[in-house]
Amino acid sequence: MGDTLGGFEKLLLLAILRLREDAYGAAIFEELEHRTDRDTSPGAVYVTLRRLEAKGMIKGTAGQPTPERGGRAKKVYSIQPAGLDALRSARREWDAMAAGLDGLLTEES
Amino acid sequence: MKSPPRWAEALLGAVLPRDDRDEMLGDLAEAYARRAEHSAFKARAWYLGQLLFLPGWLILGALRAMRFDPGEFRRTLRGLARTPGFTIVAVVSLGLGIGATTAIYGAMRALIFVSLPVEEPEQLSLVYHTWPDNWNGRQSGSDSSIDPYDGERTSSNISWPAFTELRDASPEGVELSAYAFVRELSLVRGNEPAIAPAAMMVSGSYFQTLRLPPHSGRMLTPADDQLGAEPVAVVSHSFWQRAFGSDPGVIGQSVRLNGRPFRVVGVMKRGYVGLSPGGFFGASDLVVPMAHAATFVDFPVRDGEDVLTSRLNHWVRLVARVDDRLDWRGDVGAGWTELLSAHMVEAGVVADGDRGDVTVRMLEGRRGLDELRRETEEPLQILGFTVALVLLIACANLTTLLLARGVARTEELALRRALGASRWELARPQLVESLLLGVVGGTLGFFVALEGGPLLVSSLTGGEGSAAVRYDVSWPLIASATIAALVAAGLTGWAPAARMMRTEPNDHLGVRDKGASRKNMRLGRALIAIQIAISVPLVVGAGLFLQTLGNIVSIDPGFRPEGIVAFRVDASLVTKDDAEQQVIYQRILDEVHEIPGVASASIVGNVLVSGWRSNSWVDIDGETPMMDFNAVSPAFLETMGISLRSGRFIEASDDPDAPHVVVVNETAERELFGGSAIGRTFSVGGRRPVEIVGVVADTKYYDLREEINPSFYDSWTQRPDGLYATHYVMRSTQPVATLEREVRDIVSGIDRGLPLSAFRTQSDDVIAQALRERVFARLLTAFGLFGLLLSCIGLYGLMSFNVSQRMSEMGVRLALGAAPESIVGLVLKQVAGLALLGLIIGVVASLQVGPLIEAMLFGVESNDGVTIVAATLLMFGVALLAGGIPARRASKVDPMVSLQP
Repeated sequence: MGDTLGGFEKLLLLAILRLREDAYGAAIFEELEHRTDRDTSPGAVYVTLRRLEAKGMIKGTAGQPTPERGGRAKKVYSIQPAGLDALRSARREWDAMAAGLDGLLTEES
Repeated sequence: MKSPPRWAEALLGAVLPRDDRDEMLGDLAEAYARRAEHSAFKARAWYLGQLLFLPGWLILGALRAMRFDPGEFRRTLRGLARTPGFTIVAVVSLGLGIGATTAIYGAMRALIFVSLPVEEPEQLSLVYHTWPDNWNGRQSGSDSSIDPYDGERTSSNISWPAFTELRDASPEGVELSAYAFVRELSLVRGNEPAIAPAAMMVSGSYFQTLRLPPHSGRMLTPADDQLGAEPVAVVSHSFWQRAFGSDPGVIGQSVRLNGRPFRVVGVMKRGYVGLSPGGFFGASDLVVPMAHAATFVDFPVRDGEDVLTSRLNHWVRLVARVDDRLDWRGDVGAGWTELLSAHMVEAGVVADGDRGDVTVRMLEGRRGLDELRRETEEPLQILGFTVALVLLIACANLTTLLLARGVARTEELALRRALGASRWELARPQLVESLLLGVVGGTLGFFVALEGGPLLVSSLTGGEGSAAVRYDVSWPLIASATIAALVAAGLTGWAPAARMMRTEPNDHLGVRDKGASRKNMRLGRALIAIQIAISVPLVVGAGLFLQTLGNIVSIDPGFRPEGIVAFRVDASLVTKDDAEQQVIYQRILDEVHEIPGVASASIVGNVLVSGWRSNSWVDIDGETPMMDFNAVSPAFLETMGISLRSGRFIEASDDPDAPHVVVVNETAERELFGGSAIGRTFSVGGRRPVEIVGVVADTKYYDLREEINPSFYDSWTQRPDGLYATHYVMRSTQPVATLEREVRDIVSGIDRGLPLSAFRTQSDDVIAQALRERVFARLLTAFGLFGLLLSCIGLYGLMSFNVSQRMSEMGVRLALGAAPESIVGLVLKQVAGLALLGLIIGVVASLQVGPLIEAMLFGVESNDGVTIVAATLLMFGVALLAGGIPARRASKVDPMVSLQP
């Protein structure tokens, strides 16, 4: 596949991988905000999710309604082989380019 | 458990796509609850932010999913540049269509919809009343309106004492004010010659009732309206500019009104001209308090009374501001009805038994006295209807051209579809192109409307509207041009784009001319027929108005208007004495005679065909018919070029001491005296008898359209009541501007306080008679020709395309021995069929809408057979011509070329 992933697309795919069976909208917002420590716009998340869906990298299925959602059903996303391939190739590229730069790329803590 | 505000959820739910609604609202609710644990306020703010941004994100996402590409615009522009003929037709036709529609809408806004520029204009109401048949008062300057709720005729005027009584009894939340228009006024500033501004008198509370802040200085207050208060006046913004050159120093200065000093205390807000923005009661230049009414109005009163105490003379009009909470038509009016009827009975104006016929009627006042609306509403509606048709023709025309082009591209589109392009991608260039054409056409249209709108307003109102009516760039105007452009783009691009979307990969090569292409052409043909059908009423209307105009212009007025100049002088503004007035009038007449180049000059009570007349009932041997009359001096016949039929005309010797004589017109002699009228006598309005000494040729009097009434001329010096104001007519070879200067010098030389007014040529009056007909004839002719031209372009385009698609068929026919003429016939038959279908529908439609313009026609009926047949033949001929060019091309096909694969 020639499709390269955008930065936000990568973050979303990783969030979905992390959340496993529980990857739905609100959880994804929280995961992104919690781990990247920045405000996430739900609108941007949905638009990107739709795009990844259209590319066949993720798949959404209807989940269970819960009371805190006002009884509305979730849509749970799962990663597809194409999505995993794209992430892996992104990782390969990253590793290839970042090799030997650990000293520069690691923040002092 | 915290959940987001219900209304915000409902609002968001309404805009989200149905498939996504549960997911997104649920996620947002969860996220909200999490945020609300920290701060309810921040959570709410966050949610409201989503309300704003989420839909925007989704639209952006959708656009991106469609692979919307800004480069598309560039490609479309390039494509348009490659077909300049099409582009020019498209932009110009859309531009004119949108421009005309917007201009008419702007004129409607300016003339019909607009409220007075005051605070809360909808609280204003005009207080009118009904009256019994048996009514004993005196009316001056009243008008009647129809109460829209029950169709009763109502009158505008009551007496000043009646007003004060109603005002003092106004309930809480109601303010009542009075006003009256001044017939004519002389204003002198310093040593300048007098001018004659349009003025009104108002009660002191008028400006408070209207809630009108001043531009500068102050407005009038109740204190100004006390008897004995210092005479003050305020002027309108436009008069301040015109007469005082926007000099701020004019405030505090004294001017002489009818010879009396008045101090100017303020300038009214810009754009505000009084309760009448134009029409019969012109826009007011100057406003003075009612307390000084005696300086401006003059009517007979009983002994011991004056204009402000007379209960017999009904001359003031009322305007009320009623608080929103009150029932303005019901309770308020009912309270005043009681008082007014009692007042009229007490004043002896209404018999006690007729008391019930006096009822107060509150009419909508937010537009003021909307005379202009009454005069222009119907013409504007007809024009609005017309331009909408023109825009429709322009859209149908473009659609036809685009459809034909689309068919030509079927192969290419099918190929692209086969190569995997989505339906959207096929149609997108078409939509972008329509949108682009709409935007460019709309921009052009907006400028057309900016230029054309004010022209339309002033030509419909005879120029007077332009001073008072504001037609300017405003959001509603821009919005209406934008809406017209988008609607046009949508109408134009939709059908071709929809066709393109339906292209299938196998709409390819061998199968062309079937399927989609045939369907396209069917739609194209229907659109051509529709264009022709719509053009018919326009062309017929143009024919009818051209005839109307011709009929009016060729009316013989009975005199020679060329070279005649008319003006008015009102000597009563400087002296109340009849004899002194007569001296002034005679002096002006004598001195005007002396102007070089003036062949003849005369006094006349009412200038002919000026829209004014005097009439009275007369007593001829016990019969009491109505007759028109006009007071003149001896040279009148010579000045006007009217011929004397028998006897003699008024002569200088017919002075006040001589026996009173009149000269009648031929109609009077024929209809009222049956035979020679000379020597016969009759009495006018119950006064002493007059003797007929001559008969003159008939002339038009009130206007050009009217039937000629029996009428008589009498000597201006033999008028029992003296003259109010008088007009002069003179025949001269001098340029009008030179004459005006000379006459102005003469008049101000006699008395500096005497204003010269209504200076114009007699031809101006004649032209003014056919003003609206002229506008209509011009506009409808332009629109009709434009519609016809567009239909022809469409027809030509369609037939050209049709022929090009059938080239090989034509080649086969020719190769098999068909005569070229039969090929021409083949194509023309199709053209004729289309044209006939359109014409038949169009003629039926013309007959249906004809009655709408009936009242504006003169000397021709809306269903005039000759006009309809002529218009139909013209259109048929032009259609055959447009279709004939491609037909000839078809007959010249070289079979060898067209049959090659």
